[in-house]
Amino acid sequence: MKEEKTMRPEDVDKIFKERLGNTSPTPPTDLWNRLQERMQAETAPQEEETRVIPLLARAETRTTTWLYSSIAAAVSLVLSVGVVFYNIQTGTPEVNEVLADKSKTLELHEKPVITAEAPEMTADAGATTEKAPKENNLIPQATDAAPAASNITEADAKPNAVAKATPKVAHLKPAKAIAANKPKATVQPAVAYKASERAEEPAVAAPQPAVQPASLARAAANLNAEPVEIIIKRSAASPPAMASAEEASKGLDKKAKLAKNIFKQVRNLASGENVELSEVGINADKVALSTHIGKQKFSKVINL
Amino acid sequence: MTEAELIAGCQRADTKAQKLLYERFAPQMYGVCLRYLKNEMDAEEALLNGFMKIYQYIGKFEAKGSFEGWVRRIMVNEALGFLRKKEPLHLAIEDNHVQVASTGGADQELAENELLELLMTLPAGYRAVFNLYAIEGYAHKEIADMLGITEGTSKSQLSKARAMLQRRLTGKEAIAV
Repeated sequence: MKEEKTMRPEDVDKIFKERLGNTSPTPPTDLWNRLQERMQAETAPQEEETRVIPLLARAETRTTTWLYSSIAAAVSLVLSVGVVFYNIQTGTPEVNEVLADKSKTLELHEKPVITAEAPEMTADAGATTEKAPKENNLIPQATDAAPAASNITEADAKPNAVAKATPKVAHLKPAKAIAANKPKATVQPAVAYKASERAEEPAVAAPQPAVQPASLARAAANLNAEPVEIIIKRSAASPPAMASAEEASKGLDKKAKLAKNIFKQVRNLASGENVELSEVGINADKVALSTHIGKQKFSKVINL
Repeated sequence: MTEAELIAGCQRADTKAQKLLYERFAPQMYGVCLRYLKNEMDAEEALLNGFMKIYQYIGKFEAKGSFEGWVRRIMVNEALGFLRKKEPLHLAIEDNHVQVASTGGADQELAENELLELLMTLPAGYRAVFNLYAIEGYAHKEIADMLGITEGTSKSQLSKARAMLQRRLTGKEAIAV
């Protein structure tokens, strides 16, 4: 009874802590196996998940690669179709070259032949309006061999021809100037020739200067390989210029002088010097030129 | 294998290390579970779940405290979880045990399993608090947090548990004598 009284709550704690605190009864022997089973059961779904993830990832990569390839295919298809349609509409550069070769370009390349042929044509045709553009063709070319070309014009310089040629010279000169900027010699003539070829038709129908810039621009656009666009704006109409030119072309001396002036100005243009269009009988106030060659943009306003 | 190596092995999910860990701690932790849970099956289940959690979260173990303390805490929590499921924690059953006048004090002769049986006669709530306070050594604040009760409840349940055990111990003693 004494002991019971002396037994404090802390003693109860002590007894239990001492006796039960560090008991280590042996767990059932199969408990480890059960634990392993459970761990496998738990890890199995995880493994399945990890198996699923790469599959998904692979599927994703597959879809993405498929997407990329399809996009690339679509882009290339659109590009090729666009190129084909563009070529159909405007004519391929090869065709242009062939056309140019077939027509007069080959002959034009050879300068002596030109000198021989150009007068023939003017003589046969008799139509001065038709001849005029041809002369113009030759004039830009003449920059390569200026003296020879100048001889041509001097030789067959008819008053009308010169008179009607002069306004067109103004349009073609820039074309030549641009061509002179380009390093490729083979393509340059093609621009000029093409432009002049197109210029022929409007010249016959209506020799208005407004039409010619457009045709020039179109002709320039024909070259797919080297897109050269030339925009020419004239603020003043050419009729007065033509009139003055006609006046100026009354005398043979004057004609010769005019022709010389034209080639002088062409040379000046080619060499980058100032051009005095009034000297060649053009009294337009302003001629604005602008063109794109490759990525470069050239623009020039010529005060006359 | 040192404890650090064992932990490192378990962190790599090395099966050998896991088995070694189990062998090292299973008996002790089985004892912990048995102190809380009447049913041996429940104790085994709690032990298994506890080890699963240990393997799962061993990566998060920081070597700040003792590893054994960490393992024990997991086991205690697991056992308490079972206790909540199986036995209503706070159901205080009136001690209607017929107190037998004891002739001697609680004695060393009482076997471990007898003490365990005594412990199992306690209502679940009392048992939990007594286990946590007297044996595991938690403070009332911690116990209150673990069981979701107030500190006051923890204290009162402890004193009631003690009283009951005291009576039974003396009763046992009386029977034994």
